[in-house]
Amino acid sequence: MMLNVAKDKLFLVLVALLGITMVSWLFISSANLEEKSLGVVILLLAFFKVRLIAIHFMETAMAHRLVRIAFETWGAVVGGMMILGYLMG
Amino acid sequence: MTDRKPLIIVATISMVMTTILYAGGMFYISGFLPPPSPALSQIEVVSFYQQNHTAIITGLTMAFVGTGFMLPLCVIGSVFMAEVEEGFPYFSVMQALCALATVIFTALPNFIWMTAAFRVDRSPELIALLHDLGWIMWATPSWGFAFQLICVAVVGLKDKRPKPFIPRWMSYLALWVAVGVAPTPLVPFFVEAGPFAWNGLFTFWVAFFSPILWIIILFVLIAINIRSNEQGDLVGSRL
Amino acid sequence: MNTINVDKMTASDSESLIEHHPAEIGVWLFIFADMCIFAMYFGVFVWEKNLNPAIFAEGQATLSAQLGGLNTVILLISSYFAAKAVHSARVFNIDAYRRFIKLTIFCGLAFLCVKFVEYSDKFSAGFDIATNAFYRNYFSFTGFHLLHVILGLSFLAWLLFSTKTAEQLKENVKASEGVGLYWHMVDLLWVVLFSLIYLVP
Repeated sequence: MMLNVAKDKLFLVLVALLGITMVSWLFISSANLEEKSLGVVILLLAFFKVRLIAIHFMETAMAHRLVRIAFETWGAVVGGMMILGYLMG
Repeated sequence: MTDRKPLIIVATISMVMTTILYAGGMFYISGFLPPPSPALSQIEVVSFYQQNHTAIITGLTMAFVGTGFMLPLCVIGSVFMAEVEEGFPYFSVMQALCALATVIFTALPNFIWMTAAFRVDRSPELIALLHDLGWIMWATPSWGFAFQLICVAVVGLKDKRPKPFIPRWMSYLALWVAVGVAPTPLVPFFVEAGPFAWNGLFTFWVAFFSPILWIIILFVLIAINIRSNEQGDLVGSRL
Repeated sequence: MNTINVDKMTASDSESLIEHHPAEIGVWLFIFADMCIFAMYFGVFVWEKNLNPAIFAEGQATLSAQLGGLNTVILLISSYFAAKAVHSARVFNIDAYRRFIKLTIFCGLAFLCVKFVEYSDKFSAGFDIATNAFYRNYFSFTGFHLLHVILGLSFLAWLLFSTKTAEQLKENVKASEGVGLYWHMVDLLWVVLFSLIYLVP
């Protein structure tokens, strides 16, 4: 029973990840947004995907609490710094 | 089982000697580390050798003597590793041989730079040439050290005793250091300064200091465990 | 003792969840440390992009977002297969486990092929690692990532060769979790690299 749920959940996560990848692409082709905000949206989507992979594929939720904290911090700090650096350029 | 304390004492003395002689010679006396930019002009390079002639030769001599002390340290590592391996201690022997390669490639550039500083009236092109040769030889070959760490990690992960010679996470950290030193073959591509030049973020700061960090952690663990290690473990399994 | 039995797991079992966290703590340490090195790569890329915006815009225009995107899709799917393999390992389903490991390896090899096409395009167009700041970053960072993919493939191949029976699988659950984690990290880092190098204007 639990295994089936787990299977389905992983597949849903994969569909979400592929969907977000497609959305990032569509943004590129439409390019109605201003350049900087487009870049920020793409980076935010990328780090949302990172979080999905970390939580559902790497199972940081099941891991030691320190691992979870370390991964959340990594995502927030690296993503934040990159967006900040990108906006400064 | 042999008494480990003398081995650990010799290893610690070697570690201290390497640190004092190499760091003192390279960072403090000769000023070779942190490395100068590869983008320096020929005039700047030549004036560096001419103005610091005596300090360079003194510092480089100290540093190459210091590298020699890495050998007892690494061979003692192999002694601990060999107890884990069954049959011919392949990885322990390999680790010790790669340590020799590391020592040679760390010490050889010192003689090349010494040659550059040896005759102050040498033509500037030749000084610049020896300078480049020395730096490329110093910064590029990381394979010896990477193989040493991989051997340590393989043996560390094979160690199923209740008290392994290093904790398992130290083996994984060794693998990470081996990955961290992997970009150094990119050094000869970049004449201009950048993250992959011989003074770059990845090819010097990460590649040089991540192994040092690993060795420092190892000795901290040894120091914590020094009183209780008659039982056969090097740094204690609970840590 | 070290394995997680998915069937027996319940929400109230939070005690055992903490005890039975996936993979060894050392693997997590390795992965986190490696991700920190890649974080520096991302930082260097953004920094140098700010210094030479024109060169980076020009270089990015020569990249094929189609090939990069294809590789993203391939890696995401392979990551899904790796996660499924780990789930099969926990219930000792050797057939499913070997099938998913093979599928993961297949996707990894597909990634290598696409990368080969992409790199040879760039080389035949006359771009290499020494061309300019953009290509230095592009080739070093994607190349270092490629090295991780190759390493991951060798770990996966080792799992495939050392796990042929259900008994061997019982021994290798922790190892599978570790390799799975590593493979997800390779995927995760590519997601950021792809967005950063190919997409962000």
